[in-house]
Amino acid sequence: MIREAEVEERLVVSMRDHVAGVSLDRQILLRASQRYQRRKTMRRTAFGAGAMAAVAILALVVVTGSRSGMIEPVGRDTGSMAQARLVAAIVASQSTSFYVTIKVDSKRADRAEVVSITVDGAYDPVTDSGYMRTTDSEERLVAGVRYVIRKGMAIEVPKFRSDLSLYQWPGGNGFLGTTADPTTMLDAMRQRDAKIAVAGVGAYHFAMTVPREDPRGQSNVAIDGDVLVGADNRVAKVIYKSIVSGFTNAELMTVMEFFGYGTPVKVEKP
Amino acid sequence: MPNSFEGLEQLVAERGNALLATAVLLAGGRAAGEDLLQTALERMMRYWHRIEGDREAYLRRTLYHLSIDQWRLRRRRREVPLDMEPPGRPDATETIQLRRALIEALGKLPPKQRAVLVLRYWEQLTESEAAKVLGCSLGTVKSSASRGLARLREVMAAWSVEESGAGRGAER
Repeated sequence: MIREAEVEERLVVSMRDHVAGVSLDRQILLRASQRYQRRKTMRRTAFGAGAMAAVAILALVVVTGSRSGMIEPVGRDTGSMAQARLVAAIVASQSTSFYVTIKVDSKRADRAEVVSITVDGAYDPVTDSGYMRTTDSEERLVAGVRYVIRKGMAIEVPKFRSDLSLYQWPGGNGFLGTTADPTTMLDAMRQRDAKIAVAGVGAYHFAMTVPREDPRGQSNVAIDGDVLVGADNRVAKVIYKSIVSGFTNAELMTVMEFFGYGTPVKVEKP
Repeated sequence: MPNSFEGLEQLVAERGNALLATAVLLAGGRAAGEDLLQTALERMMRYWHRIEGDREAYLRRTLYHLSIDQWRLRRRRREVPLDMEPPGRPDATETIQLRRALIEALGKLPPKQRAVLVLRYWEQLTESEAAKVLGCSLGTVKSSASRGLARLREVMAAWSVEESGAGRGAER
């Protein structure tokens, strides 16, 4: 019978033997630093990604609502009329492509600087293809397959993979965090309480609060803004302010301009 | 390296080898250990300004927690220890072979058992200290250590049987 003390002694010696001469390559710290910087950049990019998703939802809801001449609150408590509009919006989304430019200024409460980012994006629901580009990153959706491109390298990833930091801000969980798929985003919106009201000719005011799930602590994102609809009865511009409060505290100002409705979106597999 | 991480380079320069050794034991191999340490460093950078007190202790805790979460290791193929001899090549001594067998067995233990054994027998922490690092109960540490050691004892016992069998075969 082997004594426990003997096992312990053998284990200690084996461990020492196994790591004897192990020496740290200083590149590990450099690579960790680069990874940290990439992640930081992606989080900033995510502001734009979320904005794009939000406007896609709002665009569809508002356009559908204005066609019927009735604007009502949209949410789980609003009954069958709102549900019917959302279904109509989903149908509408399946035949409308668009291009968008988004500019987001964000400021964390604990930081002095304002971080700005500009995103160019497009989505064609017919081909389920689109893209989202910033100065240092790109995502493509090609026939439903999503690719993340960083530094010339493309990685195929699940379409709504939630563990990417890009998709965790500000709403996360497939709502504000998702890109380029209005159908899925509309489904998510039905679980929220987005309030939409007429604010003038071709103008609509909206407000909603979205919980931001973060394992480190709960935050809420209060979103308040306006949608401007052009003569073609399509959304032309959206401006909104997001206030994040709770575990994270920040303010974001987002301006989005839409154009090229109905124009095909050409995206190639990287 | 941004200036905001003041002291990090010094920490890595002074304690990097020891941290890597721990990571190698936790991850089961040199390359996986480097990946684990790199991930822990990146995580520490994210929370650098919120870390109060001993940053090395924070980094060590992160290593252990990441290894238990199995982090990316689940998606990695099992790594063959770098110092394993190629099959068929004669080993210098039985002792070395047994050490390798134990390290291999350690690498195959469930992550929590492995982490407890590394904390107890590599870091030489008490059971209470190990429980504090892992954020679990004393009972969990005791049971994990017991199960892990039991498995290693089995490996040693099997080794003894094989060796004695081989010895008898050689006598014929």
